[in-house]
Amino acid sequence: MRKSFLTYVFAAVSLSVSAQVVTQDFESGSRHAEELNCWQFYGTQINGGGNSINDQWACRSQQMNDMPSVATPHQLISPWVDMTSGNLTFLSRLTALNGGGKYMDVYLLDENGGSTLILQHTYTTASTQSFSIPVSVTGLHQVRWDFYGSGGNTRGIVDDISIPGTYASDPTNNPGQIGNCAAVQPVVDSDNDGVEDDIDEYPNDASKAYNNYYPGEGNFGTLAYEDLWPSQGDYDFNDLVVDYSFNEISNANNQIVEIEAVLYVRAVGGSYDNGFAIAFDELTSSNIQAVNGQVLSGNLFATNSNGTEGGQNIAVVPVFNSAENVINRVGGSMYNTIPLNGTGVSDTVYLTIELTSPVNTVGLAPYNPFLVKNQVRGNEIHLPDMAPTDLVDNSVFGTQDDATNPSSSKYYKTANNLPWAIDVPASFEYPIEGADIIDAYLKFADWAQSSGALYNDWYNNNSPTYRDNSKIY
Amino acid sequence: MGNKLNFKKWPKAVVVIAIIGAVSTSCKKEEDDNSSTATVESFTGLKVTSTFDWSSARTIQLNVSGVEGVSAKDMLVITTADGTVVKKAYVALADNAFLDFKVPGYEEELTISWGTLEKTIALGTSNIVEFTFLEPDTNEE
Repeated sequence: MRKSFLTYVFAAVSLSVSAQVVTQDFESGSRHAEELNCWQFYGTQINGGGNSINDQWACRSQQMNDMPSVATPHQLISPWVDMTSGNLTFLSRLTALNGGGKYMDVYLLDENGGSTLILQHTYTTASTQSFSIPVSVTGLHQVRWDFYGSGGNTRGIVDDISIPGTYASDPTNNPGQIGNCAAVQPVVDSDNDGVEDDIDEYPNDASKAYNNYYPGEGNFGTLAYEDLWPSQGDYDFNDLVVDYSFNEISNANNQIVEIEAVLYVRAVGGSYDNGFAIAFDELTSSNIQAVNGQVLSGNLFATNSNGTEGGQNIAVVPVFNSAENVINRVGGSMYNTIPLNGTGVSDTVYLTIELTSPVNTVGLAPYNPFLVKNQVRGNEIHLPDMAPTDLVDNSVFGTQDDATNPSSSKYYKTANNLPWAIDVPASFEYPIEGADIIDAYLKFADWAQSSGALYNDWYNNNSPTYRDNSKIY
Repeated sequence: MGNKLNFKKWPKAVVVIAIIGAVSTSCKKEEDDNSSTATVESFTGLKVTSTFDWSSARTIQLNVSGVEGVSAKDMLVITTADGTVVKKAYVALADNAFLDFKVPGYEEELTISWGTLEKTIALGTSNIVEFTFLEPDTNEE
């Protein structure tokens, strides 16, 4: 049971607690809703109209016939209640009084499976009767109403229940039959942030509660660039290949307080000296308290004291000035794109972006990442249809093969709508140097030309028909 | 009569073979139509629409309708078929929640859990998915 359970009872409408009582008037009108509140219905239902006692709704049993004994009664069972001495009160009547005897038994159930009969009632009238049963037990109990009888078509109705004590069921723990909740267990919340330790990923830090990873904890996505923009390249998508993993850390109020990023350059299959940054279109620089982990040894990016780039209306976080500063070449001008040249191991960039104050959203990862081409700050290359930053050189748009048209939100695409960068939600095994991506990934063309209707798993290694491994690094 | 075919004059075996051939050709064509598009020689030859989203991930907006009265909180966890957690939120079941997240484009269903409650929902063509843990009431008692 979660710490915030205590707020539960006061917010309830059909189920409420005041002055140490748990009440039920069935005015939700929904059995399933009350089952989620940990009430159990066996041969009973919530009915309205002529079946109510007060207001619109009440609990009504099936017909109390063919069950002359208590063996298989129709039942209503309350949630677990931490009972205190007082009176159990409720209203009851029958839909009619016909056939044989009609009975209602009321039991207290304890945690050990024991039951104590506290009322055995024989109906002598169909009219509404008010019941008040003194209860002296304390501790965790449920209350069970049994309706049974023989002959006729009589149904039992109960309404306006009041149980002395506090609600002690755990709606989050509904094993098996919905409504059959476990009793509340002791709560441990070391940092008192309202999130119980067993689900709090930061149990000793009240400012943080849980992680949201993209594309999943331990998984990486890939950004793959062609860097000849505004000219088309060879479309091996390996001029810069960056694996990413993002983690948005939230507090107990579901507000994001920090962003972590793990970035790893897997390939540099070009001759340009490129930088890399991430724009957060939903944030401004003032939203960011500090950025740690950047690799900024050159002058490509002019940063503010908090690590964001200056002169921007949105928050732009430079990651590295030059890919050369995070890769370790083993030979050749191409890095990890020509198999015979050997494989270099890059430095992993661990970026931490602390927010000034919690925010509801930071956008969706991987946000708006971009390559800065060959140390020319104005030459940004973004994912298709992602807007450039304020520092882009607008004069380059529309030149050579670029057909950017801001008025229609078309960015970084050719006249034929081809991009200079792709984002894959998995660690993408990019093509070797000079291999066109459609020759390496045999379903890529079908995927693109079908607007994603076909082979949206084109990058997976599902079968030999999906890829030509000789063209993949 | 021109070229009108008269099946009565053909041997039965020929007719059967012809029908089988026609059916199998038809099936093959349909299969091909579903599995590939126009052949291209290079990336620059691709024909894609201006609205095509080059991302291989799909953005889902999950609208969770709360259940009145159940304001106890727990972690709402959304997972894909392979068990990858794609979104979490700490919510009361009484809360309406609007969650945006991305999943690989090929995902066909999501599992949503809250405490011990768990439901699996199919992803259709719409990126907006309505969800509640509350089952519709029936007349059974």
